[in-house]
Amino acid sequence: MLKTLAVFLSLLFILNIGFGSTSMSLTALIDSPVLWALRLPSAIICILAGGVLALSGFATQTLFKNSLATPYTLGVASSASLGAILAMSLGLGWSMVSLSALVFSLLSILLLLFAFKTFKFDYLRLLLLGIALNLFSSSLISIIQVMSGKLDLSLFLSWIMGSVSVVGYDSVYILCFAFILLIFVMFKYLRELMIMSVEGHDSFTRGFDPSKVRSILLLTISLSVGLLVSQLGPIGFVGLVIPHLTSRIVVFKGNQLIFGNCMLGGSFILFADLVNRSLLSDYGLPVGVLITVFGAPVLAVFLWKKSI
Amino acid sequence: MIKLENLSVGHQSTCLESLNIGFTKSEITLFLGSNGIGKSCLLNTMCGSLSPLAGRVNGLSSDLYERSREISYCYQSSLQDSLMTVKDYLSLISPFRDNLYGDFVKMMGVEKLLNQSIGMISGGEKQRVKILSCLLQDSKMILLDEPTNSLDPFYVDQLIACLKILKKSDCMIILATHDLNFAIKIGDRFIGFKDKTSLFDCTLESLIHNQTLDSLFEKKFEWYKNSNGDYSLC
Repeated sequence: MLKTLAVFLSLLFILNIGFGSTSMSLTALIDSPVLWALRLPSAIICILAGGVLALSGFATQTLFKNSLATPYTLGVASSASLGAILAMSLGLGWSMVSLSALVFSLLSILLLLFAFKTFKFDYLRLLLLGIALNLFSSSLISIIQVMSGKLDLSLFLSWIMGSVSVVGYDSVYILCFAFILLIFVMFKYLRELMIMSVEGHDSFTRGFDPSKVRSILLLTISLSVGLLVSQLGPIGFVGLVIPHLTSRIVVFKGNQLIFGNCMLGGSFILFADLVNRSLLSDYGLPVGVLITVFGAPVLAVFLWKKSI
Repeated sequence: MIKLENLSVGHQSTCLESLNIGFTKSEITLFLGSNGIGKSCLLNTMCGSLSPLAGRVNGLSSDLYERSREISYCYQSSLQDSLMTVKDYLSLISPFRDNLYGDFVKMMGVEKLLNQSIGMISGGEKQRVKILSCLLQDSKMILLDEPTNSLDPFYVDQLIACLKILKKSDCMIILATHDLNFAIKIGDRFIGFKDKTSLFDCTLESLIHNQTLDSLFEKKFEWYKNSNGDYSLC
C-alpha cells in the first residue's frame, strides 16, 4: 500500500509543478523562474505541510484517545491567528505578520507547558483548556475585526483559510525544519506512542514515563504546527481527516502509519492545490477552502462505511 | 528484592499507612480487603506511578527502563479499542520472555486472536490479552490488579497455571483481588488490609484456622474441602 501511495504522491507532485495558471512548454518551463521560484517551492510546501499536519493529527488523536482531536485542538492555531490579526490591524508587513503569529503560538505553547506541569495525567483538562484558549482567541479576533479601522478583512480571511502559494524558499526551510523535527521525535517515541494507543495512561512499567512522553510529543507537535501556521495560516481538515483515512488503508503498524500519513497528507494538499491553480485559477482562492471542500465529503463517506 | 519501609499511600488523603512489608522470590502474595481500602493505590505506589505520602519503596531502580526489568504491572483498566492487531501489540513488549511465548499464548487462548485488531475482540478476550502482555514482560516481579475480572472460570484456571509456571522460574507475584476462591487456590501468603493498616499477614493454613477473613470482610465465611483437597469458600 505504501508503494501505491508513493506513486500517487510522485504523480501529483509532477502534475503540480507541470500545470498552473500559465501554461508553457516543458523547455520553456525548465528555464523559467515560474518553475523554480513559484511552483517548485509551493509543491514542496504542499508535501511538507501535509506531512506535518497528518502526522501531528495522528499523534494528537492517539494521545488524547479522541477521534475529533486535531493538531489545532490545543489552541496553537487560534493563538497564531490572533497574533496574525494583531499585526495586520497595526498595518505591519507580511513578514511581521508571520513573526507575530509565531510569537503568539509560542506563547500558547508556554501556557501548555505550564498546564502539563499542573495537570499531569489529566488529558481531559488539557483538552478543555485548549477549547477555552480557542474560544478566547476567536472572540478577541472578532473584537479586533470589528474595532480596527486599518484591517484589510479580505486579506485576513484569506490568511485564516490557509494558503500554500509562496514565492522563494524561506517558508520551505522553516517547514522543512518543522517536518524533520516532528518526524524525528515521532520515530524516537514510536514504540511508546503505539503502546499508549492501546494501554492509555497505564504504561508506567513498560520502560518509560507516559506523562513525560506525552508532554514531549504534544510540545513538539505544537511547535511544528506553530511554525506551519505562522507561514501558511491554519490549513484545516488535513489533521483531522487524513489520520483516519491512513489508519484504514495501511497496516496499523508504526512505520507504515508514519509514512502513510506523510504521503497521504502531502498528496491531499497537492491535489487541492492543483485543482485550485489549474481549474479555479481565476478566483484566487486560498487552498485551505478547497481542502475542506474535498475533505468533508471524504470523511462523510468513511463515516457512512465504518465507524471512526 | 523490593521492600516497603514505613510506607504510607493514598491520593489526597491517606489510604494505608506505616506499612513495613518485605517480599521474596517464588512467592505468590495476595492483597485482600474491601472496596476502596487502597489495594490499587498500594500497587500504583509500588510500581512508582504514584508517589508515596511517606516512607519509601526500597529496591526499585529509579531508571524507568531498568524498572521494566523489575516490575510488570497489569492495571485494572481494560485495553483501549485500537486497530492494532494483538500480535503487533505483544511485539511491543520489552524485555520479552521469548521462551514462554508459545506456551502462554496457547494457555490463555490467544492463538486465534493474534491477527485480530484489539478493537474487535470482546471484553474478556481483551482482559486475557492484557494479562498475557504483562506476564510476557520479562521482569522479576509481576503485579496484577483484579486479574479475574471478566474472565470465565476456564481461563481463571489457565491463569493460575501460568502463574505457577512463573513462580517456578523465580518470579515474585503479587495480586490484588476480591475473588476469594481464586485467591485461596493460588496464594502462598495473604495480606489483609483494614482500617488503614494490615490486619493480617499469614499463610493459607492460618487463614483457615483463625477465620481471619470473617473479620476482614465482616461476613461469616464457610470453608469447603473438595475431593482433591482444594478449598472453596462460601
